[in-house]
Amino acid sequence: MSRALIGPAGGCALHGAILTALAIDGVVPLVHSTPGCALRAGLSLRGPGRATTAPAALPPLPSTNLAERHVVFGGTSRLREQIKNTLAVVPGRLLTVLTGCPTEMIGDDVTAMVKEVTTQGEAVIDIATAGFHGTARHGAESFMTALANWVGKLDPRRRGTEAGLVNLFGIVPRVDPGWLGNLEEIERLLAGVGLKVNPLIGPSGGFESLQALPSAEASLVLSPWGLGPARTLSERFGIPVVQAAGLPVGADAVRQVLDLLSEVLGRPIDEAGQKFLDVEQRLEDFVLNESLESLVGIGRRRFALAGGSLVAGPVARFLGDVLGWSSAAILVTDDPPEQSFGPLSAGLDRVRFLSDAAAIAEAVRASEADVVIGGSAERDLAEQLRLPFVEVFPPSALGTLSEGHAGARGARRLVAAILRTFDPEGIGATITTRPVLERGNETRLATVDGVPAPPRRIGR
Amino acid sequence: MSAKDRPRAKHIAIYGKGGIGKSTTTSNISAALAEAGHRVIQIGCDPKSDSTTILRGGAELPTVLDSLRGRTRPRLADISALGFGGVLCIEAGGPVPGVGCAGRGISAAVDLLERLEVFEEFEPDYVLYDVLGDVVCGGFAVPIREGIAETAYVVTSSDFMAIFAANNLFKAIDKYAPSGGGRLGGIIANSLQLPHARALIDDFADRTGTEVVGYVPRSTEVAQSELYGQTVIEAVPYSEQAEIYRHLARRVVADHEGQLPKPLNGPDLKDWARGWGDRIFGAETVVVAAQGQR
Repeated sequence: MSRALIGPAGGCALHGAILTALAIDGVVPLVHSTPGCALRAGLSLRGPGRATTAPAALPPLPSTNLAERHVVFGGTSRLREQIKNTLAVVPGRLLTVLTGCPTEMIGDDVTAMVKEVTTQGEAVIDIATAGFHGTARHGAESFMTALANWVGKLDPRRRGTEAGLVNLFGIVPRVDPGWLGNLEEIERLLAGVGLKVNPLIGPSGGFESLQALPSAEASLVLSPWGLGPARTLSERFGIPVVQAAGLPVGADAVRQVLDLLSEVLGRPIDEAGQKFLDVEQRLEDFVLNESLESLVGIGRRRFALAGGSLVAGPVARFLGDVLGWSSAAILVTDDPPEQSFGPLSAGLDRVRFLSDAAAIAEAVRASEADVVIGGSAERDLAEQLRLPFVEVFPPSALGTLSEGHAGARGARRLVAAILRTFDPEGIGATITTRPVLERGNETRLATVDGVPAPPRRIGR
Repeated sequence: MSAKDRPRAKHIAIYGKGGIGKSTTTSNISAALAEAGHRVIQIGCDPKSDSTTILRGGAELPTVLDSLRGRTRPRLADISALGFGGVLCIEAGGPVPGVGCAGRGISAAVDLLERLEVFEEFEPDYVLYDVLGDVVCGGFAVPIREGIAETAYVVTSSDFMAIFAANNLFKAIDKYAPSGGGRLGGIIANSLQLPHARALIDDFADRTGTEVVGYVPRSTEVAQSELYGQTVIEAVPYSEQAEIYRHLARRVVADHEGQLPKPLNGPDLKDWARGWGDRIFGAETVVVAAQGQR
């Protein structure tokens, strides 16, 4: 049995499933649990220890809102009623019954209730998403896997392949910062080499995208949280799984992923595609040339970085391979399965897998880094340690608005974030020598050598 | 005497493996106490809801949890009935087997009884909780937690599974006693029939640092009374069996310090049972008989 986490990112498995369902047009979630379970997913993340729960602004959720009598006597009849009512009043093409902790603990026979309506021809599935199964990302993966299974049963024989169609898995909606921006950018990048993303989630995803899963030529998996559905489709339809080392940050990483995809698909990138990739590369070159003076002034930093498995490694690789920075600590915070530790830390130094906010803070503190890179949780830590802070993973609510870090455009935003911290006036060469962090002079560090203090939030 | 002056009722929980005779034992204790002039409440904490049947002549009684199904707040009269000797009979009730959570049901029922101020209203001398004793989850430990029952007794036969359940109860008592939970009053040895039964239970008590507070032999009078829907106290008040229950009742409510049992761990319990297996079946003509038991 595991111990409790301090500040688990993104909420519980149920939240991940709810958020994923709400990101797929035509898929309706129905929460079979007590009222708080459906409510909490809609709560704001503001408050002490921010970014510890799911984001705000969700539409109303159908929920069985169980009372004590349902826990004692079983909640299946309440569920039967709620399924019937939801099918009657909530428009959608697939109803997904998501179980919370109480109903899985008392062992409600949810599958039997769902079977009652599926035998009448309704499209309904049930997914075990009790919070105790794990984090929001666990829940999102279970949800996607269940969808892949369902579509597989619906269409047991592959109807044929759509040339160049690639399923995209591993970006968790509303939990991964910049999920929407990253999704759009991946779609644009694949389109640039003549491929078409089948994203399932987001504005160009939806129920048709779900139905198209078996027609794809490959499944591109950007984080371990996409492996479940990709493997399901591979087992059922033989769709190859292309596992990337995370979100491609920077032009090199984009080329690597697209080369890998083209190799698996047996479809070399054509001249137009190569031209597109050259443009990506040149964009990054422009960005680096424009900011060279500042970057030289900032010096080769020793960074501590904390983030999810989608972005932590890729951002660290960009910082190391392109900017020549070195890692003091790379902390992967979303509790990925152990089998993925190897691929996630490939080519990186000082990678650790920590999900507990206190452990993360301790690791950053002990790393002797001279800059902290991460999200809002790390901002406070950087302030405590009097270290410069580069915010690259915005809090979840803003994460949907953020443009993300995929591709050369993402690299541009990353460099811009670094410059905002170290050289906000854009005057360049603010630091002539690399400040050395020694114990005891942390308080001076923020101001010596012209390094500006990290920007402070207003209204705190 | 006003309610304020009355001493707090003594709350006693009686556990035991399902089917071991704890409801029969508890009901006969309640009947004996009532017969002696005490005000008694017996609360059945078993989803089967048959704890108080033989106090009430088998009449129907809505359970506490049944009242949870409705939306109106129940009254005490709706969920209780007066049985033999004025014993107030209450059944916690629970879900049908295989559905819902019976453990949460016990908690919910106890909460509801407190909200209804049953004890303030009825002013009992003794409250007996008859609890399904496998202590399968936290809900079934509610009567010995949070200072509800100060003493718990366990009914066991000489069957290994009944002993196993008793040992589990000991573990639960040890867990909750430091935080104000009830202590063990002792073991009630029930359905004694086989020659080795008494020695086996005595030995188990010895090994776990506990005490056997009463020996109830298997008897046709019990079976017969139950068929009539009555306790032995009511059906055959002058029988030897009735006297055994009266003696047990006096012992159960007497003031004596509760114990902290020393439950056996898994391997020790197995070894102990195997040892008894050898003694009963391997050694000549039952060792216990030679020891002069029964």
